[in-house]
Amino acid sequence: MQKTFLSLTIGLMAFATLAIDPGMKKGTPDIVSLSVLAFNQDGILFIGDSKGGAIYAVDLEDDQKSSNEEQLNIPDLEDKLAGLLGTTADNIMVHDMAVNPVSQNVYLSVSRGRAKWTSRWETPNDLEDASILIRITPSGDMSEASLEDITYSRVEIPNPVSPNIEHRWKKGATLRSDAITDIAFDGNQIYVAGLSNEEFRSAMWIAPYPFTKDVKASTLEIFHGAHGKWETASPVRAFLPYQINNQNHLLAAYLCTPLVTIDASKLKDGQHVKGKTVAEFGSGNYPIDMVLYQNNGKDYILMSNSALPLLLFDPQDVAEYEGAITEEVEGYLAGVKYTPRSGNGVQQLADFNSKYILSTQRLPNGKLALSSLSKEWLYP
Amino acid sequence: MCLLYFFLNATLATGQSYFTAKTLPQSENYGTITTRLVPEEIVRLIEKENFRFSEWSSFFYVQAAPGSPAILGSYSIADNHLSFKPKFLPDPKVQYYVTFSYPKLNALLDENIMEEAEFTDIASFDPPETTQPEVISFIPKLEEVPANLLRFYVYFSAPMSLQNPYDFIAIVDKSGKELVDPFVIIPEGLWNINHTRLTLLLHPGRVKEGVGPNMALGDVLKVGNSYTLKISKEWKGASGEPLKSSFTQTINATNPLERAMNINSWALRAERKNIGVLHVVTDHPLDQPLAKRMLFIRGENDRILPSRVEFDSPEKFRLLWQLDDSEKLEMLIDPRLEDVCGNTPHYAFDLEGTERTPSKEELKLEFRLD
Repeated sequence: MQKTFLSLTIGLMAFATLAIDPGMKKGTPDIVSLSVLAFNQDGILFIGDSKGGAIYAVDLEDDQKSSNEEQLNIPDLEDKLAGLLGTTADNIMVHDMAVNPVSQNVYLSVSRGRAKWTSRWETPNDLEDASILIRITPSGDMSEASLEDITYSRVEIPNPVSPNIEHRWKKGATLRSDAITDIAFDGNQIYVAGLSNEEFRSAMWIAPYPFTKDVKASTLEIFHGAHGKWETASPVRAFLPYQINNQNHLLAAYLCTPLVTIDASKLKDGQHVKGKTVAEFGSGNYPIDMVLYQNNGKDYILMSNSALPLLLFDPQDVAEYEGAITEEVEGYLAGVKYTPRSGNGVQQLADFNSKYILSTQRLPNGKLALSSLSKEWLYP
Repeated sequence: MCLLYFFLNATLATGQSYFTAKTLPQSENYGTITTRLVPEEIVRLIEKENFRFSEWSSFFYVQAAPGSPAILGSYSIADNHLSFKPKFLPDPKVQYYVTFSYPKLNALLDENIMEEAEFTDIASFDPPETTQPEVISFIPKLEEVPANLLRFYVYFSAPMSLQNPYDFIAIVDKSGKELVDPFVIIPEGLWNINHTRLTLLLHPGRVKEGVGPNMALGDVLKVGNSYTLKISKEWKGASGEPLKSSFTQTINATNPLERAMNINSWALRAERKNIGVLHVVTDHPLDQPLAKRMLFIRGENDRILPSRVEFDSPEKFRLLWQLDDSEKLEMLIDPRLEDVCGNTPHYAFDLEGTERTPSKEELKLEFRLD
């Protein structure tokens, strides 16, 4: 009887797993580049593979619930990673960071390519394909998260930008490294920003999850206040799904550096969608990452930038911003105001736990630190 | 073989290291570090345990610096040795600290082992070439080749990787159609020791009339047809850099060369400079790499004189030798010398009924140097 019960339990567990994503299978995914990472609420890791033109959903069996409220700090992250990868810190490059909301384990996509860095405009994905996934526990233990013989599913992104198109002004780079620039999970679908082969290259795909082949593709157009013109060639660099006035929107940041809202209800297959530019943050910089978090029951958005301090927004200000930037901006700054917070050199951001945002930060001593930013301290 | 092994700094009383490392950049096992002296019975104990990485790396670990975490990689047991292969190629700038600790192994095992020592050593690795390789020469350098051609040689400017060469080399006919199975597949290719010269053997079973592959697939090259040999620029050198550019070579197939070489028809002209120069025109296009090893100059008193061969074309070469007092000399020809179609001075490659019994007759051509 006990045996029957056990079999039934195993059967139900198997069914439960299949119910999450029946398309998942066991094996070693053929991932070319771990370009971008994101988790859903169930601890499934999504990997955007720019070079492979696909999104992978990976069950890392990392489902031990953590209610940790402590901070995590590693002052010499690249040194530690260099030890694991058998090289020196100056060759280590962190491409993206995501935190599993179930376990609070931190995941980094990493490569040994930083020595190739020659221009402040180059992104890690321009320089090298991240090939290794590193897991850091809330207590700071670091190890490889193997992508061999795992449970995963995959969906191809239709018509990603061709690998043969050279970047117009980044020497030696092709546009393909921007085929997928950021991903975000929302409800039962995943948004994928990047570049396609369409005449208007900037693209937003929406893949249902569990994956089916029914991936919707829209092209995007935005007014770039610093340039004084409508643009379609540049991809979204970082974005978040967010409800504005109870309507699904994407809050998207572009290079050099407009902030745009996109009405998600307009993102239908084959549609060309214009975003509403709500802020300009000046030229000579670009957004790196965005994170939405709550503190004392209120939403905040934190953005890291290649040259500015941390940018803190009240999403209510975005919602209440009437009108749109449609003319060239004098002095480069316009629209929704942000609160500058100390944090020069902050790159990757992720919501860690109820008290802390996790960041990677280039410190004045040259080291890259994994640092916890207190949500209380960030409060303006 | 000795090139593959780099003995680390001595740590044992015997002067030997506890470890070896494979340091040849183009070796697929480049970077692998092996313990050489763990007793077999302990290897068997470890084998039984089926350790995970975290356990292996607690007693046998490689670090990029003292105090660093163990570098990622995989562990295996082969031929009674314990091996570690790093996940990433070794960084030539880094000295690696290799440690094998019996006390830490002991902590993992159920049964106690008597060994108590801990061995540490330092390994460093040769940097791979970083330049983009390119095809610098192709032999035979002939636009017209006999249809029963047996070999090509491709020379590269830098060592090539161990990727499957046949994935990157193709022969296409005039219509652009790729020939099916033109080459003998030799896993990893037939390379010289530096991995800069690849020998491509056109399938002899297809060149030889009447044998299985020839009957099934026909001749590789057909008389009167034009082909292009293509080498893709996707092919990577040992440094990881792909070829600088693609390479193509036109091949026009002419009548097959199906007879033995007649060395007595070779034209010889000797010339005295500060060295001796023998100009030779042959009756067949020679296999040049073979000829460079199989032609010699013998002076009076039976002395073999130091010499080298320089080709102008597969049918025309110079033998340069270091002069002595000899006036009456001989060019010696190894009977294994072949032309580009595999014909030797004694035998045609594809002549039915020909038995290849070794000949004891010395092959030589006499000449005088005035």
